[in-house]
Amino acid sequence: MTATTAIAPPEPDLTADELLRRARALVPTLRERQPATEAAGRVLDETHEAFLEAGLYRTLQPKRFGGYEVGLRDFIRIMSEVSRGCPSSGWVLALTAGHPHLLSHWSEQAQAEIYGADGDARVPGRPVQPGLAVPADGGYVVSGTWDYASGCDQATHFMGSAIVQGSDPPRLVWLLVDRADFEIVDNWDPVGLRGTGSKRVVCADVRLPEHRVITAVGTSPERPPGWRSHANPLYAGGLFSLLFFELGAIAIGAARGAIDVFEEVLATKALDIPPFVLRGEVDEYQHHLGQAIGLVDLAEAALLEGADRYLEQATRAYEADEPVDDNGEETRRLLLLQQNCIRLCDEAVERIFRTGGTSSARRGHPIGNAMLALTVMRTHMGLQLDRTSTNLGRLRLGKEAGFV
Amino acid sequence: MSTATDLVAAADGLRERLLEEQAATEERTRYSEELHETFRELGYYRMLQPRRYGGLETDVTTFYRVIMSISRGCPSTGWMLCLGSGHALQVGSYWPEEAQEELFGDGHFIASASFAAKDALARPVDGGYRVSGTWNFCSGVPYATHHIGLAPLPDDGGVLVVAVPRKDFTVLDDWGDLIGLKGSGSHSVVVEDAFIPAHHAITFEQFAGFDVDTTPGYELHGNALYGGAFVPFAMGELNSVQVGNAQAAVDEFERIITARRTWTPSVGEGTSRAENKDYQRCLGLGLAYTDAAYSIVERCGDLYLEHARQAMEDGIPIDEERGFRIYGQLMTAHKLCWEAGDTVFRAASTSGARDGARMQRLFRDLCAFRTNGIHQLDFKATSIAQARLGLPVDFYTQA
Repeated sequence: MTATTAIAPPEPDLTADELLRRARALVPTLRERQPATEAAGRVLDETHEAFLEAGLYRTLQPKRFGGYEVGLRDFIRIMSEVSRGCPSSGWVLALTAGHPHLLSHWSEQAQAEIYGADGDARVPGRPVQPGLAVPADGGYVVSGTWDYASGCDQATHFMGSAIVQGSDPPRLVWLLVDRADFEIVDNWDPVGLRGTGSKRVVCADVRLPEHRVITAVGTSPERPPGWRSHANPLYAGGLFSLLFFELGAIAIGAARGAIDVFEEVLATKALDIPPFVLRGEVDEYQHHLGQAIGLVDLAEAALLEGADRYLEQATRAYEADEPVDDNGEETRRLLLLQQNCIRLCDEAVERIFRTGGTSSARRGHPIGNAMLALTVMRTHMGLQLDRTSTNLGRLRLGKEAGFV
Repeated sequence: MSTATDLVAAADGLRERLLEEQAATEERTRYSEELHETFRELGYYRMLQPRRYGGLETDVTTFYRVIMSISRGCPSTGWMLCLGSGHALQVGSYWPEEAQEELFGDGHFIASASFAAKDALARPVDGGYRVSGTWNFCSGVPYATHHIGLAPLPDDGGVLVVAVPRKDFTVLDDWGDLIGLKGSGSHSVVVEDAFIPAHHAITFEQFAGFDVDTTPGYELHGNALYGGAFVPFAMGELNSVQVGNAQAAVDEFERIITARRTWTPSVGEGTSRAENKDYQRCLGLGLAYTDAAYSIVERCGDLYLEHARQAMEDGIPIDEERGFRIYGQLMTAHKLCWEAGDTVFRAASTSGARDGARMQRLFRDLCAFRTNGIHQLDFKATSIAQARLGLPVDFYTQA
């Protein structure tokens, strides 16, 4: 392992608490910008600037590459807080700010290249939907089309996947391309999370040196080149389970944001039928509010507890010098915990959506936005609770399990 | 075209056409004039109209079955047809003979109706009322001959239900910004100082009350169909659309999993999703939930007539508890419909959430009614219990 020159973070004394405070301060502005963000179909430039300025993209970035390297619990709290203001903006932030973990699988050399001189790096990725990598003098020529590239507008690089031409069995690889080497095609038009701008990324015949390409994590027992490249065991934890903490954090934030608005509705809107009192005066609405708060509290407690379990597993792996099995039982249980956390948030938001008044169903309303964000999130291929449940059951019974 | 089976079979026969026209219907904010003509020829606007005015006096359950079938092709169309044609039952039940004679007129009668009024007022004048106001959510109004609106009398003098003829109202171009049911023709209606003869208005109590032993419609038509409590009927209408909507989502899910294959990093493209148990489970749940909801709606259609018959013929009035317990069943059906739609939407992959995807539209349509303030089982549950316990009902008393 070669030592690389350290990059100083812009604010060396910045703490996790201060990052959280900054995230909290952004919430009202982010909520105001929700309709514009959804209409623009991407994170607004002013929001991106605010994230940059607050140092939020560097939340989970290793210190020596110019980041703040906060703990996983803090990462979850900070990402939740931003998502509370705007689920779409929080989504893009979490899915880029969480990716230093992904990058840590590449060699020091590759990581140093990506973080560059100042540590300004945002690398959205698409681990599936492989393109083609053709081996060519010490590297590869890569082409591919990858959908759902959350954060591509703010990206400095992109992580794509490809099958190596001629490999048998087919070898799935992940690769890092520079911003100049990919095009963005706007094909993002889902019913929710519109503001994430999770568009298509296209590469045609991009020449990549060997060190930009690694075997896809979880498809082979070989150790990734970046294994233990950071002294912090967090980066030795399972990759997929880390990525789903991002989604869990967004779900909690989206639900808290919906609860915020619901409280305002109950305090200001009267029933439109007898007895015409404020909704907040009515037992049934009070009940819904309490239920929603309870569900999200439970979800958050579970996710934070999951973060501790994640770190324990990562520390064991780091100390034993034995990577985490991304398809193993322990990892699946974490995934199931994350999925259930999202389910609880979804349930809370659904309660609020159906009782917050029909105005919630009008375009751009924050309650409707939260509901649709959770709904679209739950169509994610990695969030299929039924499938993961079955797979966990199979593992527990000593049988082979399928993907996620 | 007259038997119950024929009416339902004809609706089933329109399925493909309705599916194809979904996007255009949404864009237009109402179903097409061609489809309107087809419905007219099939007698769909006359199903609940009294025979003496050219109607079919179809039983409520058959009416629901037709609406469930149409909605399975297009929820917006089902909603608009249902609410446009269903109010014939209201007029046929509670309006006096003279008014029915005039309102049903030549036999072509379509009426929107709405509770949601802004600045509505019925000012008593000689022989009737001068009525003004704006009513929102007037589903069915694009091809309506009449609009039925709630209008308060001055000085807290009670609330009237007035039937306003087409010549006396204008329709605003303000429908389509709700998340779903964009093609349901639920535009707003504006009435400006129209004269409504006294017999074209009834009181809110005459229309919403349970405790009656006869109605003008029962006396006139001798059919218990016109002696029921209208609000439970209307709840059944809305839920018929929900059932069709959820069935459509399940149909679409079946199409998707049959057409698509699984994909995993290690294996690449795998087997048909239809052969995968996780997808099978979702389809099975979707079918079970929608089958159960369908049965509930049918049963509530039967109960409508059963309760009406007992009230009209055996002197056992429809009390609050019986009415509320119909709501409870229908709201349970609604929960099942939502559960079915949510289950298949999630499992249909993110491509089903995209603009233009039929799955997305069907999900949005389900969302649109999900926010209905009075149609929430957990709200209604306490009212059901209060009615059961003989306590005063303190919340959502009427609906």
